[in-house]
Amino acid sequence: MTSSQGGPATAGPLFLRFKGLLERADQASYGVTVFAMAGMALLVSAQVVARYAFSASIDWADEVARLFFIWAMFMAIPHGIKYGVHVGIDIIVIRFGKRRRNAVFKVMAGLSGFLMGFVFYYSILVVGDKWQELMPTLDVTAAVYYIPVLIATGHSFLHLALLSWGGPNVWQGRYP
Amino acid sequence: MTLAMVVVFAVLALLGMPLAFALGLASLGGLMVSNIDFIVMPQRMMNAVDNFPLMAIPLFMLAGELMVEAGIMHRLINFANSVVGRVHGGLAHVTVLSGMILAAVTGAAVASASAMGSTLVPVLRKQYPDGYSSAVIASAANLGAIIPPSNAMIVYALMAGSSVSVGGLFMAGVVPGIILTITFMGLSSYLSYKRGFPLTGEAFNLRNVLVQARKAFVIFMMPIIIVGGIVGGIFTATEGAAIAVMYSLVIGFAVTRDLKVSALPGVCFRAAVGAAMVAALIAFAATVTFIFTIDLVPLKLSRFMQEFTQNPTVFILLVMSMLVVVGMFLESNAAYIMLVPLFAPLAITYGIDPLYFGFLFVLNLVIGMMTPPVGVLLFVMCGITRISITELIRNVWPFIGAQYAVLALCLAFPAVVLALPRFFGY
Repeated sequence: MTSSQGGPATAGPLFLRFKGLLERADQASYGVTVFAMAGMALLVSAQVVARYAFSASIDWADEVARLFFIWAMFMAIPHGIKYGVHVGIDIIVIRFGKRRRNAVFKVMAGLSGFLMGFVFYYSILVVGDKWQELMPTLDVTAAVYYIPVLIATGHSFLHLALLSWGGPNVWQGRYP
Repeated sequence: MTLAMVVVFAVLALLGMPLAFALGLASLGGLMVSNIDFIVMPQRMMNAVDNFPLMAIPLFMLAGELMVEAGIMHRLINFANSVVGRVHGGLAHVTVLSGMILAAVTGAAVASASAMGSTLVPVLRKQYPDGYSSAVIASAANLGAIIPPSNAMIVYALMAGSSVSVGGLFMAGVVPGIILTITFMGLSSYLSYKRGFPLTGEAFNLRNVLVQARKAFVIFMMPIIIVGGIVGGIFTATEGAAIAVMYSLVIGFAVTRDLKVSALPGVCFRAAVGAAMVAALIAFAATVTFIFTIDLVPLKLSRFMQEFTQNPTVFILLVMSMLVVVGMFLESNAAYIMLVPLFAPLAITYGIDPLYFGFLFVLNLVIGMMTPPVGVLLFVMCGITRISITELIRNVWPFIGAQYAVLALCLAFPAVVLALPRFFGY
């Protein structure tokens, strides 16, 4: 879904308000993604340095680095939708006329949104289910592994709903 | 059930839905038909991504982004120009040589294509038509997935389980990667001579080569330290990728001094979003492979193949032929995720060396990144140079042919692939 191409969508105030709210959510998840990526790189490097320079090991480093990785990847998925990063096959749809192509895009975004909404609902159940469990090395609930799935699917659902509403030209932004 | 899932996936994918989401919806249908609790979906998604070796992919991407942000491209191009600039197709040689060295830094073909496209296209455009320039850059970028470190190999090793080591696959890629580089250079010279492109670049001067090599030395050291560390067992691929990130930071801040602190959030974000495309595929494909297992697909496929042929060579040729077609239509990461768990164990039952099979599998799908109609690199280059896909396809065929020739060479002479890994004890 190359949502980053073309001109901006022309739509009513409700649409623009929805888009504005989503941009704020994007800013928040941008910060979390950057923090998680940096944390992951630092922790894995620190573990190597600790092993060779101090003959020591940070017990919780691998687990927390993995946690950062999960957060970074899931939080970045909705941004991939926004910037049209998730690869697809457009060999057939590019042969359609503009109107039909936009209509197919909206249907596909709607179906993808349905998928995300569905997984979002079941992620709530999983988070609730795991809330009492603790991580192996830290006194923190094991639900922290599933919370990014919950946030990512919810955030992706909103992005896909917007694309299904406004069509492929909603976003013109490029990577920061 | 499996057939229905494949049909749902194919229809949605052909209608332009992102492959990750098409996989998700197909698996949703599979769960519904099989009467399996939907709660397994978020669980499988998280468990699939919760994988230490997989962390190497965003980290290598981050290292590559940092190196490009640190301004290594100009040093690379200057060095390559001093060595191979003054021959027929000199600038094309510079591109291929830069691609080879960049491959040892980024590990990803798409990242290499973006980095080279933005820096080399303005220079190439002055001497060559855009179609030819784009074809050369796409081919050079494709070395990124063959020459270690390679994200494609990491994904393959992850999907194949314990039968293949990342370090072994990395070593398997070295000799074919060098052969590919030389083949691309030879082809560039031939095409440039035949089409009458002018000679470019500086005359060979050993003193200049040494000066440029000294400036580019820090870049050459990165793959030596990282791949050497992984192969030498000093650190894992993931740890090596993290070291690469730290090394890139040192180069950017202390050596080239082009890297700014203010650029770091954007760099982290771009690497995360790029890797999230692979993570989304892996996450959604996890439920598909779960349903495949319940439906005994690997067993059925194994029985079918064993009844069809007992000959390992015929098996390899069948799989390779299938991958040529798959590579044309399916994004390579999606293909690794869906097909490696099915075919890698099968290859072992035929007595085929897992490293050898793994490398051939990767090389075949890497070529698929350049073959129409679904060649990711073609789309990247069309986006950068703004030429039509038809024009690029017209120019890229000789380079695709050269890659299939190297694949045939590897098929005919397994030692080309296996000699180096064996030397290092894999």
